Amino acid sequence: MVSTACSSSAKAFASASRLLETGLCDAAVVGGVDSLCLTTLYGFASLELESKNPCRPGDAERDGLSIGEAAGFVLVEKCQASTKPGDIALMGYGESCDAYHMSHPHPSGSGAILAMQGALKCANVPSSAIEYVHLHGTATKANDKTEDQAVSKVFGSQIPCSSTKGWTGHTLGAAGGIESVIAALCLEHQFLPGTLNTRTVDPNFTSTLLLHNQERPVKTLMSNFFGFGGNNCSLLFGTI
Amino acid sequence: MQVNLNGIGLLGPGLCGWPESQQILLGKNIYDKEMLPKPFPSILQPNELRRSSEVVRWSLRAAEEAMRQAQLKPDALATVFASSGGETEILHKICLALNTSERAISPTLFHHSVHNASAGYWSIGVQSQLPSSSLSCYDSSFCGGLIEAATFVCSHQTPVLLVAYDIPPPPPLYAARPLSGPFAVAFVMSPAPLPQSFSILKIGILDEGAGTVSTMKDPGLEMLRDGNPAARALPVLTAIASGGPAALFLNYLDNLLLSVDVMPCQPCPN
Repeated sequence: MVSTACSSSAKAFASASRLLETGLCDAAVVGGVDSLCLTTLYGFASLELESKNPCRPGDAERDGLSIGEAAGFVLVEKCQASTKPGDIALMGYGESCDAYHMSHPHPSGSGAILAMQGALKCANVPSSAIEYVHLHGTATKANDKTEDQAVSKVFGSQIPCSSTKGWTGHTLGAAGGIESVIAALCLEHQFLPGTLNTRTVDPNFTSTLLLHNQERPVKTLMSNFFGFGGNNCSLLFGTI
Repeated sequence: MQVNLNGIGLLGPGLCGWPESQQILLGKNIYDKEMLPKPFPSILQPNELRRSSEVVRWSLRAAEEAMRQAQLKPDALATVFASSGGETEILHKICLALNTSERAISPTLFHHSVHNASAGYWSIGVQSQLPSSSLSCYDSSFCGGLIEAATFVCSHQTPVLLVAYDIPPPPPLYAARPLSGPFAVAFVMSPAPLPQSFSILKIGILDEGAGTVSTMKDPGLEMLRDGNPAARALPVLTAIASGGPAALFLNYLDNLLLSVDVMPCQPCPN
């Protein structure tokens, strides 16, 4: 079990890729689970990171996260002869550390940038190949600000981005599991989710935050996951 | 799957560092389990050291020792931290706070409670932004860490620092997880042999019937091995200290074994 706070189950995909690549297994069940518990509820409250209302990722008046609980698992196997057009693939992953603070993101977003660039390099595709960024987007002041800067730096300001934490809350260790399933649904249904609850995008943001659902073609996307201890992971999913 | 070993860090009851421990593991010096190390890792700032848990101090001290032997820049290594229970001392303090009417948790305690606390402090201490994973695999946490680290080395062709550690939790958690003693071990692995490489580890996963689990001859060391997930590394360490080739089997998951073949390439540092 990978346990790197809120990047845990995203990193499980990276571990599974390595296990498949080195031939230690032929397939892996990958995902994450986290249940509500007093330690996290009162812990995030102690850091003043919890909103009293449903969270509003990227909103000018965002005031913290909503804690969620979830489980999400997928079966992954090596690309092989039976892989067919339309299948969803993990095309790359990137992992990094902030090396800055145990619970505060690096102000320049350098760890997030390294994770996203690592996923592009792993997949051997340019940043221009990515059509949508599924944000970590927890709705804390610091996370969303830093992630906005990092995304703009890697992809420019035009790429559509959104956070689905308005629907699910921040499911912590399960985020990689369920948000990978959401990413697969986006690719399967040619759909980009809006950012629920968010009314006015932070005027300081430079990236393009989607407030409403959009039906549009999408073949490749990036999902971000950042955890305490400054532990980051980005996953690049695409349609074969 | 094979990796080259360039540095070892070791801490346990009666085991205060790799050079000092080799003769004990080989049965040439007496094992004294009452002698408990008091590790103070130098990469922690004084204020961090003051607030750090035993788990962080033990894991980072072992990591430092392994890195010193390996003569590699610590910010050039990805890391894998493996521990069954992780920050049980912090969890205990948080549970005490939750058992009061205010339920006021210290923010510092909360961000120290994550399983990747040691990994976070290491990355900050050595200023490394390279990938870092922290994992738990109950009694097989050392094996899980070894697999994660070795697959990383082989997939990315880059050196990795593996640290495996577990400290007995304070009561009342201790009753549910009575570990035999504190233990921390660190390996610096590289994909290709380096001038300082002293052993090759060849690692594979086998069905449980493929071999017999390797144990320690000394009853005290065997009790430590059997009762602390990180100490499951002891037969591997003993084989390396002996300087000869060895084929070992470690308990992995329910019906699996991890095979670890140790092949020396030059005398290990002492």
